[in-house]
Amino acid sequence: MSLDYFYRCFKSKVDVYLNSLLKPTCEGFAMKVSLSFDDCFISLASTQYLDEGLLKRVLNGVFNYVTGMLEQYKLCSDVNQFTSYLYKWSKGLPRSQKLYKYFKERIESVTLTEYSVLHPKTSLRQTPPILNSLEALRGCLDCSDTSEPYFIKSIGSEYEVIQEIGGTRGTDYIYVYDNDYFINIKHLPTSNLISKEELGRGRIRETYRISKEVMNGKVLLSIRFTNKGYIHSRVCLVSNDIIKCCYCNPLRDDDELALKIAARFKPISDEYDIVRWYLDITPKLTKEIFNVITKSGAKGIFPLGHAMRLSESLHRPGLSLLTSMILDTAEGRKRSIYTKLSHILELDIIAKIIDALEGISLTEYWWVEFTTNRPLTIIKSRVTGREYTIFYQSSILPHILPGFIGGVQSI
Amino acid sequence: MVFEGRVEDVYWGELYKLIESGRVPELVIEVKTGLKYLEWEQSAYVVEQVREYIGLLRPKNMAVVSLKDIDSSLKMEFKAMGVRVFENIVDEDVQKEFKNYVMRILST
Repeated sequence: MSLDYFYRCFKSKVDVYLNSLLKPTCEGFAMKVSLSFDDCFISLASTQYLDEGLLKRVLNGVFNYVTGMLEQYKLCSDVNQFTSYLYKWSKGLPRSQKLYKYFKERIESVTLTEYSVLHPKTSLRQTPPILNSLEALRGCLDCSDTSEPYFIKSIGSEYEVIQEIGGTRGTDYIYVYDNDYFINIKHLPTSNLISKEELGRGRIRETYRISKEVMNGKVLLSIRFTNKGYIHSRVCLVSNDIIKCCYCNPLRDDDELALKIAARFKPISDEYDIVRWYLDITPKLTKEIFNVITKSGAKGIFPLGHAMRLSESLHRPGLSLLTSMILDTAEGRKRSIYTKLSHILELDIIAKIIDALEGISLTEYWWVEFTTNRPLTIIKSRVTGREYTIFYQSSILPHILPGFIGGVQSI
Repeated sequence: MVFEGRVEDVYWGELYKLIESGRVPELVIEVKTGLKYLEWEQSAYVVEQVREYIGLLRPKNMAVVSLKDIDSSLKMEFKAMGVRVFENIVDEDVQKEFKNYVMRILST
């Protein structure tokens, strides 16, 4: 990993935060800088010997970039405020603490006047701060398949668009790119709902009519979930009765792209408060979970069956946010993100228990399954010498047991 | 939920049979985000839920862990029920306290 690669790694992670629809905050920025630095620096340090000179170049580059962004985005009242948040978030991250110390030393030696001119000195390549999500998807439209998909067809002066909503299994959500946002077809001001059909399992098929005048030239995004929860995404270009659709695998396979696209979904209500929580908290928790898994000697964590969305949260945070933001109501999005955050938090608490016990995993993997009572793992503690069985979300009682309070069936 | 020793797979919805046979968990933890978007984060619901768990699982130790702060009245209710509370779990000091608690109760 070269120094240049480190910068790109660091900058791309921080840019995702700055360029998302979320309103960046001083603390959020400090958190992102801290975690991104830690992540990218460990990769650099594992491939290259870092002498003092090289380390100083790394820290100096990051310092210049960060102070530049602080000035550009006016996120903090001053650099000291940023540094105090950096301190908070770098606790427990030894590599990030190096950055904090460097910031502190530099701030103490730099006057406010000098700070105001630090920005032009940045050694990192500048990129436009606002991401053009549409450009990121355009590559998908190069396919040769021009067959008309079932979810859109031309009828007279209108297009008929069908979407199937209600969760992330056996559904197909249709979004239109309009004024820099992806907007669900139902929220387009000019769309007319002409029919609704119950499909079972809480799913509904909705049919809309939209005038060609409005739709021509627009890009459509179809995210289809199979009955097992797998994702197939298609990008379509609508133009004068010609509808070109292509499968867009990068959206599924490139997590950074998925995150960028998720950040371009227009908020319906106040769901971005919880999105912010999710983005702030889950990377740190996930990192801890994986660290403890490694320390315990397990090969990894295996979410099975209905734990598809949890698997995304652990391994594909960008796609995970996308599969929440694809839902067509603010309540659905909030509930989905909340559930993911809760599951990650629960796993993190288990990780903390295993860490406290200095547990050696006696199972090859940690198993997560919501429909069986399989133990997550069995461990042997290096401290107590005893074995422990750990359950995650186990089911205590049969669901049919009468008189039991609603919802309190699993723990 | 932590049991001392090995517990093999238990059929779905049949953990209560294990408890009835006298095998009770050393530790049960209810985890909450503290983000009150949903019913199961509301104080009354959480108290009822924890009460049910204590009744059903008869754990030797029960704790509630929250990502955010917990209302003081809720904390008092938990204290009265003998439930240990750890709030703001992302805080490093709270994490240390939590790990010490785990070590203490699982090593005795």
